[in-house]
Amino acid sequence: MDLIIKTVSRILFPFILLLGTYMAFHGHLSPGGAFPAGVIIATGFALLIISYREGDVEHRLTKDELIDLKSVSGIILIILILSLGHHIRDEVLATQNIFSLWSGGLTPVFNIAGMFMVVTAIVVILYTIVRE
Amino acid sequence: MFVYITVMLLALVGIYALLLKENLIKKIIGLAIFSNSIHLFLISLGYRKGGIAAIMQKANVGYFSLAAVDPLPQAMVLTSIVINLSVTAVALSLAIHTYRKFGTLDSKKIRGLNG
Amino acid sequence: MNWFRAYVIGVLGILLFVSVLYLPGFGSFQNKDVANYYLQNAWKETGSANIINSIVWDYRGYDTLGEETVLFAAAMGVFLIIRKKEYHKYGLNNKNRK
Repeated sequence: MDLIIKTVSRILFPFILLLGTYMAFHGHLSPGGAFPAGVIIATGFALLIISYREGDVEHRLTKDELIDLKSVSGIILIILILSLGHHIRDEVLATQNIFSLWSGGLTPVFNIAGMFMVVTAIVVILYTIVRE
Repeated sequence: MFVYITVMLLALVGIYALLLKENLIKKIIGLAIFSNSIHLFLISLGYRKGGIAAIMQKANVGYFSLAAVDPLPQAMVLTSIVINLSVTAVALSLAIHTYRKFGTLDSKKIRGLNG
Repeated sequence: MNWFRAYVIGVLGILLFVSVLYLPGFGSFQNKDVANYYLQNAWKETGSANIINSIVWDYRGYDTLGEETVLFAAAMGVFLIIRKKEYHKYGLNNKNRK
């Protein structure tokens, strides 16, 4: 690709990552959540994949790391969601107050784990379609 | 009312591309347009006249439950969008596989071939 | 042009435009018991200010878990369908095939 596109996408990539992480961490207080955050981070990776070759991108996040991340965040989601109806949620809710960053029961943890799952799914799809 | 008519027109465009186009990529585009029209329809069913977004802030705690729009279709559509994304990804990969196997994306030619 | 499919589209279009007449008016907020329950009680029960996020992850968490499973299945399906090496080993266009 062009030199301008390469440089701009390399400079822009950490800010896209920062925006996605902010949307995941602040998703229970403002517009956002797990899926927009994951899609934003995946567009950052898509920008890198389009502008560079796909082998140059993989040193940031390889496919084995992606699948590991996906399984770990999925196990966290399964354990937390299956234990939602029990006493953990009430104990967590007792330590929180509304409109602060640590509020909403376990939804901030869900947002972060769901962000990892969406990022891994979309980046795996992008890697395989680009590599063919 | 005009929103509903627009949504129905969009659904008709999607079904037209899904049934009458012969290129597989155009069929997938029609599928995406059709599901997006359904999302738009569900979102527009939950609208309230002059409503605010269903996110509570310190300024609107007092009149929040009387002014906010319906949050349930938005949550369901958020789920549906992700499933639509995965369906589109699988359909595109099947189109790539079809092109590798038959050398064409025309569905009439694919029907004539066998194997 | 396949005329049967065109007739199907015409009939479906007529049905869709007739069904517009029976919908509730745009912007009228009638018969919304579930929405009123969520808007009044969700911030007390879940502590989250974003009602949509609390519905997605708290009230309907199993739904979202199944949807993540669908996403995982789609990623693995794309990963398994597009495999060029195995395709060239066993595929139709391989010249070395018996």
